[in-house]
Amino acid sequence: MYQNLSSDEILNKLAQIAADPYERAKEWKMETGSKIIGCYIMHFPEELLHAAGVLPIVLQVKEEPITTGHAYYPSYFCGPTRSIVDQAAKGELDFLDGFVGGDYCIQAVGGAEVVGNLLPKVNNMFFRLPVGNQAWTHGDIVTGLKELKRDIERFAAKEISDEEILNSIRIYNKNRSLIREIYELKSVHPSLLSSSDMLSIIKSSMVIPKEEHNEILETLLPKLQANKDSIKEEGVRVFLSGSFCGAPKNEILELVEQSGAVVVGDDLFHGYRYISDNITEDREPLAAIAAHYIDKNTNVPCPTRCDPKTDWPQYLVDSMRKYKADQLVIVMAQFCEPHMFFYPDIKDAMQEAGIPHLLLEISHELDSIETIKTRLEAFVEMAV
Amino acid sequence: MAVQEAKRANRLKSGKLVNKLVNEYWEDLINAKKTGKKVVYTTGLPIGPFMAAQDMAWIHGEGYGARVAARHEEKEPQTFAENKGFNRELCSYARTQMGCAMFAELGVPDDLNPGPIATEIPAPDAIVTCYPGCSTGPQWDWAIERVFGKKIPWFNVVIPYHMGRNGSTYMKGEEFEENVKYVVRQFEDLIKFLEVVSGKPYNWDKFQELMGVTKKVGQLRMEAMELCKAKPAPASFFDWSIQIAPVNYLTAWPGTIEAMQAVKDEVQERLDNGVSAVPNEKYRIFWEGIMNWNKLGWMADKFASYDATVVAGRYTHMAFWHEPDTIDPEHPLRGIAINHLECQLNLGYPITEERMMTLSKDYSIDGIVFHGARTCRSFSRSHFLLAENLNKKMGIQSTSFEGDMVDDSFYKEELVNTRIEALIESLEAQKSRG
Ligand code: SF4
Ligand code: SF4
Repeated sequence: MYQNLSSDEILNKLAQIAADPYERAKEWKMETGSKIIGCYIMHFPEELLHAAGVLPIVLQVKEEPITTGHAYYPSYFCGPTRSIVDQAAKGELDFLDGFVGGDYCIQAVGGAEVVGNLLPKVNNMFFRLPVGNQAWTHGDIVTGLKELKRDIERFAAKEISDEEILNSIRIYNKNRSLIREIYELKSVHPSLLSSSDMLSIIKSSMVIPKEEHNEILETLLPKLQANKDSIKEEGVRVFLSGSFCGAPKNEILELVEQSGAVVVGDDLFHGYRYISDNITEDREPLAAIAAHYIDKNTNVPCPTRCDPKTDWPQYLVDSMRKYKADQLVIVMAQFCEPHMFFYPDIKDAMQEAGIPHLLLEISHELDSIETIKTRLEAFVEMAV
Repeated sequence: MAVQEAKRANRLKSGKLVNKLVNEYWEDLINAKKTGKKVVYTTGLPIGPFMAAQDMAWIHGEGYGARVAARHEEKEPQTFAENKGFNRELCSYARTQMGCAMFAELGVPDDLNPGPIATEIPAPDAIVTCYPGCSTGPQWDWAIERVFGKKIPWFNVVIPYHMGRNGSTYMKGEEFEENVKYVVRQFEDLIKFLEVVSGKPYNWDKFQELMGVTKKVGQLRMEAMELCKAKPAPASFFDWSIQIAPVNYLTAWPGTIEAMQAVKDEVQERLDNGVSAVPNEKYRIFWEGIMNWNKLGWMADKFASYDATVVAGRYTHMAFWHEPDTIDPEHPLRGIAINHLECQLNLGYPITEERMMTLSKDYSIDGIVFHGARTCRSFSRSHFLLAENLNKKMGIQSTSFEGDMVDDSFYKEELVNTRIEALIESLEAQKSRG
């Protein structure tokens, strides 16, 4: 179906999916009669849900203003959690059969509590993912996975075999590998795709069946490769960091590029963070998934994981060097505590390494877009 | 129209005994290094006895923040933290203690002139996190670990959220039992960690003795608070907030049994003599949210002036050794785990709502004040749901306002006045309708 389309046309299709993120899932539900589980953002074993024959989708922040949700969650909570509460309050999540919350951030815990209350008919599950990295952490994550597996099995009225989990792992690994290939291409030829294109790729991957997404990417990748030499490369090389749980707004990404920058890499959740590592396929599947949480956090550290063996600021310095980036732009969701706790360390590390950085604290309402534009332009100008 | 006269809250007098113990504790802590004691930083619910058994000193992050604020010294550490890049939307306890810790580690910058308490925090020899119901707690401790150059050993006891899965309810069910076992196992590892830090085998006899004290103090406090189910109530939520130290960072400190016994005796005596916390109690209020330490006295008088007693609160009544009977001093780990797991912030929404309804019934609550502490999102996460559902299910009216624990820049006095007044008016209207 995508074979005859150009890379731009495919990217447009993905952008459409991303713009209306639950539509394909709803269609899939009609087609298959199967169930959909919403993952309440960052850390969750999608593979385990997939293995039960349900479609896991990552709940997305919507760009529209929060209205009905104001009555359920205070305005001084982060945009990602408030937006999902708002969607639940407006009935937009009624198509879900279940959702999985997590304990990695108290704002997500609270948001899931509200969503659970607003959607009493939707099965409300929970993934316990212990923080830290001690001798027993891996085993404790396995226990959390077993608890979730038990609850999914009850929900789906079906036992999940190791073989099924392994099969799902393979499908998800393939998706991650394909997206990483696109990342590699983009890091060398940053103008090949805009960062909004990159976001569409990731976001669509989060909300449609992975098998379908893999097919699309397998079509897209050679087309991108074929284009790479015809692209003229210019612009200040920028690395984008942060934006936990929710995708950065397209407007912000466009402003970065309009200011004269090209994005050469990122550690966004709706970005490299989502696909950074594969899960080992030659290990008992739950043990492999648990190891994945520890390993991927070592490779792309997450401030919610409280693992003192990781060093996010140093990771950023290293990434800047690896991607030959000139500047770092940090996108921080307003009220995002894990991110706020780390900013002083990142600031110090950047100063020490002589890397210019710009912190953009973004409210869900995007009420300071003009200021953001001016700051970005002035910042990128510095490197020109 | 509610009439506000200048009445004062009739605070408990025996609380003064606690002050003496508080002073002893800080003296001991500040001189810890001189006396050769190791210092452990902690946050979250009280775990002092774990350290006290090894003759180590401990600093409770929130307790430190609250003390700095009570002495009106919070501005400088908060400013220092902000200048270092810590956003003012972060937990204000964390910002305050981080500011103090940075004074200790980095020195006081020339443009700041902090008070003596803000600058006397000793550097840590270890960090122990034991934070139920808030991801900010461990993240705060991690930030401390980084401030001190990633050299300080850090042990994080993960307290799993008790969501209420598969029918598990307060202190019951498969999820609860699994969680208890998990925490007990981590406490066993914590003890091994403390042996290493202190360099000596664990003193179980002392630990058991201290947990005996903890149990007793917890029981006395719960009994004293329960006496306030009487109408009018002999003591208020504000008294229980002021008396929090003996069940918080002063847990098992010598003299806490006597201090809490004196408090309970005074409450009993008041009850026998018909003395109440508020001179002319007409309304009974539940305080929902963490305490606003800079405003405690003002708040107590404010409610008294409306003939309203704030009788109970989630902060005081659902935590701090609130289940003392679960502690077996001979085998204390399970009881400690239960008190942590089943505390006010760690319970899933349906369990929280059920506990609040029970307390509202037990304490004959007419109205609820929701204090939305701006930088304690763990507390305020369920406020809107609770307001709606307690009204729907029990007809309880409420009001809400924003404030904070120790950052009074989030606090708008005019708004607070109007909101409290509006609540009292609607309670008055409700009473007059019968
Ligand atoms: S990690 Fe940040 S963005 Fe995500 S839920 Fe927590 S506060 Fe919100
Ligand atoms: S936000 Fe509240 S519960 Fe969390 S660490 Fe701060 S005071 Fe504690």
